[in-house]
Amino acid sequence: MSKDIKQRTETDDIKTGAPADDAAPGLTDTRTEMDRLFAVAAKSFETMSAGSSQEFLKSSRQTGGQ
Amino acid sequence: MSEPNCVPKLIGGDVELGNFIVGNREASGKTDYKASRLLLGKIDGLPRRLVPTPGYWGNGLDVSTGWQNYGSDYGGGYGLHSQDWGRKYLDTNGGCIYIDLNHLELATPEVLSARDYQAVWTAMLRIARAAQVAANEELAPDGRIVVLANNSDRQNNSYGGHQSFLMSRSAWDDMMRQRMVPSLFCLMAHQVSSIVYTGQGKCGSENGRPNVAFQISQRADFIETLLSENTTVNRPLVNTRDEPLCGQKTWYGGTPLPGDRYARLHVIFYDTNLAPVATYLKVGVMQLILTMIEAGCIDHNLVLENPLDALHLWSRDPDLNVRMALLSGQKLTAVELQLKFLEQAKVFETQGRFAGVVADAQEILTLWEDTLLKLHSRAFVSLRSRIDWIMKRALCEQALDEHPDWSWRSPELTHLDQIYASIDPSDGLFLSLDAAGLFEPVATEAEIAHFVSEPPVSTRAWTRAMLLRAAGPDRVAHVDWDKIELKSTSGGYLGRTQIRLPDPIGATRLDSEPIFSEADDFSSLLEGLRRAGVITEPQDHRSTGSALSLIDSYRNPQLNQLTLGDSHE
Repeated sequence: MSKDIKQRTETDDIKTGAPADDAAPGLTDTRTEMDRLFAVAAKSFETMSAGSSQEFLKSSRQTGGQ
Repeated sequence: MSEPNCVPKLIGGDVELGNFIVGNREASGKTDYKASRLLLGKIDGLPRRLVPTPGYWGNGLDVSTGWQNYGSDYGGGYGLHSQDWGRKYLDTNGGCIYIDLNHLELATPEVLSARDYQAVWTAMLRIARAAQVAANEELAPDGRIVVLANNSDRQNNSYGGHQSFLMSRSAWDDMMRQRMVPSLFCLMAHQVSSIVYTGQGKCGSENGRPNVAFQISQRADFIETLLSENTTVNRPLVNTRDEPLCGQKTWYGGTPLPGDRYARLHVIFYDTNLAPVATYLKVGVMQLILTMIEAGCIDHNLVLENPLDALHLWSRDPDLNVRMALLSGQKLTAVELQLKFLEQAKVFETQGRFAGVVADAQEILTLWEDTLLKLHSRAFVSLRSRIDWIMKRALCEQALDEHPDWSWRSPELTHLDQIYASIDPSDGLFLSLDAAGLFEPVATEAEIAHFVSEPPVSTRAWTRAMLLRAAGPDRVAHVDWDKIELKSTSGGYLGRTQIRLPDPIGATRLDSEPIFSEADDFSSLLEGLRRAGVITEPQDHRSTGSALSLIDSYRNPQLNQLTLGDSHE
């Protein structure tokens, strides 16, 4: 097993068999990670409007493929 | 000891991209025809010509082999909706790029490991991105080409991200033509339940399916039947296309050829993935399942009572609560069914039976198990970094939180859903998140960069790429996965030289590199490759060397431990 896969699977304390709360201690989630995630997404949200999105979707029609 | 009926689980991908032009005020209607051709024009590949060649017709008969030919270059190359048009093979990594029904299609070179697949798929996207940059420079100021690595336009049109897996001919025939039950239905059960880690996710529904806010799989709405040869309409869970791409079959008995020994399972079911772990698990777990099917060791109880209903309901169950019935009467969630497959695969691995067939089987199992356990615990936050649909769902929910005036059906959400898969880092959400370190890597940056310019070393892709380099554009008349045709000295069709690469796990770097190094010129190179049995002539029914000799120990050390050649010679 490669070192990176071994590490990533050992650092998470996962209880099996029952739904877990995403905020439960021991999971890999951190506020910092969520902040980074949404900071990236927010940049995209800011550029969107109903008009620009409709224009994008109108242009994006594709031929059906395989 | 390797499994006697199993062959190495070689992987290839052929993935259609969404492509269109935005910002062109004069454009009316669809722009995918123009966008795809502008993109292909910026791809450097062989052969270098852009007109159909008489004698080769897509979806027809390849006159040189008698095989049904879906894959020859320029076949069906006329008209606005041409299928398989302008195919260019890359002398860099041995893959190819072409246009299929107005989509730029990326076909990876053949690889042996899931890790290499993830690396080479990412490399192919980078090649497409370079073409996009060059095409947009040419197009400006008349708009900008957008390229999406996804599977539908959210307007009822789907396009596929397919994978191919090498199987033994006997196992493929058994599964598709003879007994069918149970192995075929176990395969369906695996595919359907595996959407929990292979879905890219999408807002809404398409193709006349009932409305939904968000679903796991992009392809589920377009999968309408269990089994079929079709790929463009009435798409099946399991595609029965029988096209091995392994050269000729034996005509009158004699030593079996690769075309007799091998089959190719063409999987059209899956979503295109961008998350490295999802890509890795999609192909890696399929390698494990197919090996167990080949060995006749799949639990026959793992068959869904209604696979299509299960697919459509599980796709609409992002909280992973819905249980579907097996034929046995037992009811399981998709994750619980995956855990059943995992349990069997772990036993198989304990017995050492993936050895020589699936590279890095233990690593695949470890990551598969860890991911399933987290799914079972609904540990969604920790899975954002691995699974596309979970990340996309989180982004959409965040957008809705920040914009109370938006809904799941707002154009802004659909737009967000689409640009998740943009291959342009200036707007591609996946790429932005990946650059911020929010996705777990599989292949290293060095491995990905390698496959932008170099072929895999453990398959025939290495010799294909090197032959294309050595021949150069003036000599190459036609290329397909299992052959290269060189122009005659007169330039006419008669007198062409055909080089055959029938064994997909043959003609590796290990076989060919010494011959390339020693050859003084192109003629002596071809003669050396012929003498060594690395390439064959059309009338020459010798098979290439044993598979064992073809495995490269540098990149696939696990495979080198095995008596692989015994498994299929």
